[in-house]
Amino acid sequence: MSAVGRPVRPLDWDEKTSGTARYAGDVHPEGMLHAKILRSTMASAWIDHVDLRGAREVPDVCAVVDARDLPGARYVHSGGSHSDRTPFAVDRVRFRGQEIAAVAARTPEAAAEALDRIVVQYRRRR
Amino acid sequence: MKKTLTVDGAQMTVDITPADSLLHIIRTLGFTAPKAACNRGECGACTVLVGSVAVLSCVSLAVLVDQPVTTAAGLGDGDRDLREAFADEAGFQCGFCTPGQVVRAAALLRDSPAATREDITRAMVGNICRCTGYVQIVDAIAVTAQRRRDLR
Repeated sequence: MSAVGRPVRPLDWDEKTSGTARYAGDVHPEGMLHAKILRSTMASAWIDHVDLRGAREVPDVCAVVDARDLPGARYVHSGGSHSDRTPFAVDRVRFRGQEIAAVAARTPEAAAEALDRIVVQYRRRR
Repeated sequence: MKKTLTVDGAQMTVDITPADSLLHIIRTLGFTAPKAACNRGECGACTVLVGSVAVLSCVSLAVLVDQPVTTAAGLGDGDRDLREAFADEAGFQCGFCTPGQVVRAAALLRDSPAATREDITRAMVGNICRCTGYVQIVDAIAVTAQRRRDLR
């Protein structure tokens, strides 16, 4: 009970104030990949086609996925208002920033390059 | 191109490109005290000393750095009282911004030992913290400043 009634320093105060505490971004496990997400530039539109081929040709890119890779998937695990959302936009986007595709690559630069090469054909809703 | 940098007392020669930020280079070298958060000079999490000046390493070009670089991990015993004050005054919770806060505060207290609360608030304005609400950070620095003045 020596801590009751008196101020106590956090157990990790030394690490946190000296910058030696490790955060997710400080850890690079062997084989770690870098992910980036392509997001809708439109607030509301049909998606006619998503062409992932260019992205797959970028060196050091390990995976490129979109809604076609997750048929029927919903965020059921998060419950509530998100439980009917799909991980990626299916056929249409409903807000600017909605997820359309994702890339995993050995370097952040390769992941960014791959995103640049994904071609999304939108059709405006009337 | 080759560049020789001294970080926290260790001298090393590294391959860099002219566009590499100081933050990117020193984190790649394993000095992870400065954090990459906004990467555009808005948040202060990447603050390091270049020579004796606190700079935002994410918007500093590594190629232009000639003086020794000091991160929070390299501040040494002279600033232990400051780090302890951050702990005692509850100047951090998650701690992600703290290495930057501590470096900025250390430079301030060296440059301006007579710093008032207002001076501290103004000097720390570029170091964003989402946990504390800032009052405790200013408390920690003000307490340290006062204690150091008392010791003189």
